[in-house]
Amino acid sequence: MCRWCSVAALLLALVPGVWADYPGVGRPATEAELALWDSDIGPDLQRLPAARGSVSEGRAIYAAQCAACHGDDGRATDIFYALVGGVTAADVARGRVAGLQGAQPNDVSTLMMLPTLTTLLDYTARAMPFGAGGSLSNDEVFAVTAYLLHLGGVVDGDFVLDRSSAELAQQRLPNRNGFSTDHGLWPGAAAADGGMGNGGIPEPDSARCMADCDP
Amino acid sequence: MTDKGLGMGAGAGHLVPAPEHHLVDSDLQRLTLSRRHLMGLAVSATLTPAAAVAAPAAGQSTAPDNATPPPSYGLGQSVAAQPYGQPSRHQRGLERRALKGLSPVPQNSASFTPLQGLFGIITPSGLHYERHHSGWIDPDPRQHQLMISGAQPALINKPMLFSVDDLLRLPAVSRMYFLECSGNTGMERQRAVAPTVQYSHGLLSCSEFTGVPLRLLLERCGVDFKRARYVLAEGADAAALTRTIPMELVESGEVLVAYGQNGEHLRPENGFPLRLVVPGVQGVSWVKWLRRIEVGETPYNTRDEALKYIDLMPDGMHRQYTSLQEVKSVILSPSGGQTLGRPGFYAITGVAWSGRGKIRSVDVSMDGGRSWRSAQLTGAVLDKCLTRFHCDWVWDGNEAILQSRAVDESGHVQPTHSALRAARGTGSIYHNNAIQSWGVEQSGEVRNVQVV
Repeated sequence: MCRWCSVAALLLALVPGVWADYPGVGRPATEAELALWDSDIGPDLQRLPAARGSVSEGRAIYAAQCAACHGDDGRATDIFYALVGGVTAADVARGRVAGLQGAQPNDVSTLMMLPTLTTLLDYTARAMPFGAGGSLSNDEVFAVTAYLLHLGGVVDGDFVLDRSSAELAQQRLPNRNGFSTDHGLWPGAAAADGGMGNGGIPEPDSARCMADCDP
Repeated sequence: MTDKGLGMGAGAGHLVPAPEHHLVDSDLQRLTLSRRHLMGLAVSATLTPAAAVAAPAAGQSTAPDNATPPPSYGLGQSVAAQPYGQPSRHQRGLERRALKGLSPVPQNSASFTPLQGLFGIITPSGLHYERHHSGWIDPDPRQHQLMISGAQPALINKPMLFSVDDLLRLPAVSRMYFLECSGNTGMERQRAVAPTVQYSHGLLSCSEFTGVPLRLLLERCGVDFKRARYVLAEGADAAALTRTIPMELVESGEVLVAYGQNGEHLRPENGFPLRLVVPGVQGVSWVKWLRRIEVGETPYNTRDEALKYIDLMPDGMHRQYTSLQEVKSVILSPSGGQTLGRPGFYAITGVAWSGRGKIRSVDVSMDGGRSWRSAQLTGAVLDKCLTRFHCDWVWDGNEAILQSRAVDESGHVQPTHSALRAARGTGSIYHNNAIQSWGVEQSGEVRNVQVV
C-alpha cells in the first residue's frame, strides 16, 4: 500500500467534481421518467412542444375553463387578476407598455407585464385552471394562449399558435422590452461575467449618520 | 392608565402587549375594536389598542399586583402527558395569523409570524410564516422523490432520482438562516398600514436547516458546470412554482436540499419532506415540496419570476430576478399595538438581517432618526441569519419615535423610506427594507408611523 495514497485520495476528495462516491444512493432516471417529470415549457422558443391551437378554438376553451375566474373578457373578476387590458397598438409596436409608468401593481394586467410567451404557456400548462393544473392538453394551452393574445389586441382573429408562429407572437408582445436585470439583487455572476445584474451593488447608498441627522 | 392586570403585562404594569399577542379568535369576536384592529388594516390609524386590551377577555387572569403565588404542594402532571409538548396555557393567542382581505383565496395567501412575542433568533417551527400559492400539501415521504435533470441531455451526464431515504443517508450539514418573503413589509411602501409588527414584518422567520448541499447531488449526476449556469427548482404542489437560481450559489455549497428544520423534519407547511434552502435569497426561491431540479444554460422566465416577484420602477420598467434580501432590521419591542405602562426603563430589542452576509452593527434612534445610539448585538452573529439587538432606554413619558438601522458586512446601510422611494418609487410591493418607525404617544400607546 503506497504511503501517500491516502493523502492523495484526501486531496482528490477536496477537488470539486471529484467527491467521494456514494454507492447505492439514488438511481439513474429512465427516459420515460424524465419525459413524465420534465413538464415545464422552457424559455427556448426553438424547443416548444409540437402543439397547435387557433384563436377560435381558444375562445371555446376560455369560456369553459377560464372565464369563471378571469371574466368573460379577461379583464378580471372581483377575485382574480386581469389577464388582458391596458395595452395599446403603440405598445405592441414599441414593446413597452406606456401604462406601466407610475402604475400600481393592482392596476396591471398580465399582458401589460408579460415579457416572454413561454412564461404564459408554461404556467397555463402546469397550473391552470386553478386547482386542476395539468388538465389541459398542449394543443388546448396553445389555443387558449392564442385567444388571450387576440383578446389583448396582439394578434388577429385568424391567428394559429404553433412552433412556427411563436416567434412572431413573441415579437408582438407589448412589454417584451420592458424588463431589466441591471440591479444589485441578483446573487449570481454579474452581467459583465456572463450572468445578470450589476454584481450586487447596493442601492440606495445611505450614510451611517449618528448625530444631527436628516431623518 | 388602562387596566394593567390583563394579559401578558399582568402585575408588572410594564408593557401591555398587542391584542394579537394573547387573545384568540373567540376573544376577538367579542371585541369589536380588536376585530377592526385585526382585520381592517386601513382603519389602523383610528384604533386604540389599549382600549381593546382593557375590555374584559375570557380566561385572563386578574390577579392583583404584588400578589405572591403560593408554592405548589400538590402533584403536577405526569411525564409524557403531552407526547408532543405545547406552549403554556397562559401563552394562548401567540400564533401565526392570516390577514383577511390580503388574498381572496385562502390557498393562495400568507400567514404572519408573531415576531412581537419571540425571543432570540430562532422561530419555533409551528410559528414559521406561511406563503403558499396553491395550498400546502403533505406528501408521503416513501413516495416522494427528487429528480435531477437537464434542460438538454448534454448538460448532465446521468440524470438521477433520489428518494427521501437516499438523501437522509448522505453527509448532512446544519446551518441557521433567516427566511424572508420579498413581499414582507410590502404594505408599507406608501404609508404606514399594519397595526403590529406581526403584520408589518412577520413574513420573516429563522431556523436551523439540515440537509445535503445541492452541489453534492449535481456533482454525483455529472452536471456540466461550465455550461449549466442556472438551476430551476420545482415544487410538487399545484402552484407549479419554479424559480431560477444562479449556479454560483450552488457551487458555494450554501444551497441545501433540506429535510430538517430546528431539529426535526420540516413541517408540511414548510415543505415536508424536502425544500430548497437558498440563504440570503427571498423565500419564493426556497421551493417547498421540492420534486425536481433542472440545470440549464439560461434563466427560465417562469411565471413567478416574469409576472410575479418583479419590481415595477417609476419609469414603467420592471426589474427581473431581484432575489437578494437586503440589509434590514426592526424593533420588536416596543412595537405597534403595544402600550408602555408607565415611564421608566425599557429594553428596546429587535432583530437585524442581511442577504449579503453578517450584520456589522445596529443603531437605535428614539427621536425619529435625528440622533442614533449603537445597539448591542446580544447573541450569535451569523451569516445570512437573524441577529438579535438590544438597547437600554428610559422613557420619560414624552412622545418618541423609535427606529433601528442595520449595517451589514458589505457596508450597506439600511435606508429610510424616503431614500428607498427616491431610488425605486412606490410601485413595487417587493424588497422594502426601509427603516421602521414606532411612534410612542404620551399615553404609552405605540403606533406604526412613518417619518418622511
